[in-house]
Amino acid sequence: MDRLTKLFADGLGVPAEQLTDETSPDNTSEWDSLAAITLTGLIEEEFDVRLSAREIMKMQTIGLARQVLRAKGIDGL
Amino acid sequence: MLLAASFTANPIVPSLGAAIAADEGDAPVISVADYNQIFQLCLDPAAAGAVPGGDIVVVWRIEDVFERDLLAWAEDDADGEVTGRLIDGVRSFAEALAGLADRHDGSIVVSDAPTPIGFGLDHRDPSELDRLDRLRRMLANVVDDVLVDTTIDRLRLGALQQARGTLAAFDRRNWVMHRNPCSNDFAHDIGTAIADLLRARTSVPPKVLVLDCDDTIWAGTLVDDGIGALQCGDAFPGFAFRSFQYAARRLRHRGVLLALASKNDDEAVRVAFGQVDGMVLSDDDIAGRRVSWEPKPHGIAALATEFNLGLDSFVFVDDSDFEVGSARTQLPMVRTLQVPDDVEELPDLLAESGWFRLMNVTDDDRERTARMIAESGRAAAATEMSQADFLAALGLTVRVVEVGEAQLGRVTQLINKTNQFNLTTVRRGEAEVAALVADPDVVVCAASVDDRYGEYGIVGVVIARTAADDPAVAWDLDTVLMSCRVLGRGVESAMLRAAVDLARRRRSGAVRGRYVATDRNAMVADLLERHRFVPGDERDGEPSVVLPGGVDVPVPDHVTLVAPGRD
Repeated sequence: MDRLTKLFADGLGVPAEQLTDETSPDNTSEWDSLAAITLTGLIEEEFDVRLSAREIMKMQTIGLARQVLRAKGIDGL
Repeated sequence: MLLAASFTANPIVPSLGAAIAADEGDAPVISVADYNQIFQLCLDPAAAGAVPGGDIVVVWRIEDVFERDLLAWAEDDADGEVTGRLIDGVRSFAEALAGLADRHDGSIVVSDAPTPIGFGLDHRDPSELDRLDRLRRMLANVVDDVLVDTTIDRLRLGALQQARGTLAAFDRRNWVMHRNPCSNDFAHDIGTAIADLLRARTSVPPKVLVLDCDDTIWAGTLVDDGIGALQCGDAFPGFAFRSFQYAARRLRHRGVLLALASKNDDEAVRVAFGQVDGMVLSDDDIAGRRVSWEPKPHGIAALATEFNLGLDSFVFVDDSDFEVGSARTQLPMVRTLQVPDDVEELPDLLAESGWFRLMNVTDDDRERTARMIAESGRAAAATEMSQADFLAALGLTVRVVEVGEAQLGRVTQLINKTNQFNLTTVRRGEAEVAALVADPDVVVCAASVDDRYGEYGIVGVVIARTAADDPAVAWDLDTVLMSCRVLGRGVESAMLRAAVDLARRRRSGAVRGRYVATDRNAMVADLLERHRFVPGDERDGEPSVVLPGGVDVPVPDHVTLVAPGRD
């Protein structure tokens, strides 16, 4: 399992097997506004990166989160 | 516990929960009231989620509760009209909080408001920051005036924000996105500060600070290095220790008794207090002292009896894993702090513990040290603590080897440095030691020690020579010495046993020794007698003692001895 999916599993409290790149707030009730705050903190800590509000808003699915992080030059997702 | 805030306070919860769990062992149940519903909470606490008997913590900011007035004030308030509105609003808010105290039967903590930030307010503009800060102080006074006669505890959020720095406490992204104005660090500060408040309310405030001496209030070891080598002056590393002394002395002026628990010669420590350059503490600051070679838990327990104070009001500071561990296991009520490896952390050690915050200082507290010094000298009662139980749990292993090239340097250093636990105090250079190692008529052994706290390395040396003058004696003990760092746990017994066994593998028979008194080695005057040596014939006109052939040196049960020839 990749680091990013594992991180979302931790942050959302959802088994990683249930997560895909299409997982989003719309199809995952656990992904609410408080979980979004937690996820932001986890991502910033895990990948040692600072995200802008706009970048966070782009992360509407796990796949899009991966794209945002790749665009910031982060490998090993 | 219910946390109610004028902003998104959820990021405070993890730090708050962790700090409380560290105190109480159990993770608390913390719920967060709906965002900016403090007035509603005051009117109907149950509906807002407050549990009867539970804690309520209210954290608020001016710019959240009074956003419009605050921003109007920031634009222009030449006639003071908006200031008046803010004061009235904050007074009503505080009165509502005071009313909460009547409706809720648990405890309540209410913050003051930090300096407003965000909305483009420029904290790098000194005049704007100053104006904002004056408003903050004025409104904090309004709240204080209303709450002064209530049972509500106060959380000093403004001071906390200043300690972090107003800019570093703010996170503009979290604010714009989530209405959470706190940086991660500041959220952590707030959680920790709330836990500090709750702790101060329920725990016994510290009344006694017990300090080790060597490598705690000064750098260096008095008995090993001598008084001239002790450092607490203006140069590194002494300056860190000197700063720590200032921190300790400030606590004494806040009513905390200072005491010493040091394995040292009491008179030598008194001399050091008077002579070491840069000392801040003086004998007059010390309300009680246990400077001896006794186990420190005994000394600390005796201080509790002497002061007539519970051990739960004691804080003990030492650099040694062993001493901190023995206090923790034998006196679990005593709070312990260990001198950090990074010496720059030492000056803040007491402050960072958080134990001395929020103490209510009375005149009686301030006078306590003088009173205790006057009363001291009373007999200390015997303690109920079991040194034996502690030693048994220590997992002490003594390894004795015949010295080879690898150990020559350390062995020579011990031979020339050890003053107190030294039977004969014969000094030798490395070449002389090497010659003894090579001599078939001489046994040179080194003892190293480890226990559950770590390794101490080589701490003891025994040198035995074959005796030529008396056919009834096989060996003479030339040197028996040990570092005082490992006193009081039976290391010397194991070391002597292994050295005698090693010598007797070459030549069986009696072992003879004698004590050569210096002005510093009184602690080993009866060392050999305590290990089954009996009075023997005079040797060179001096009395000697002999371990008869076939008699072994006893080793305490708690020591595991590893040496050549032992299984």
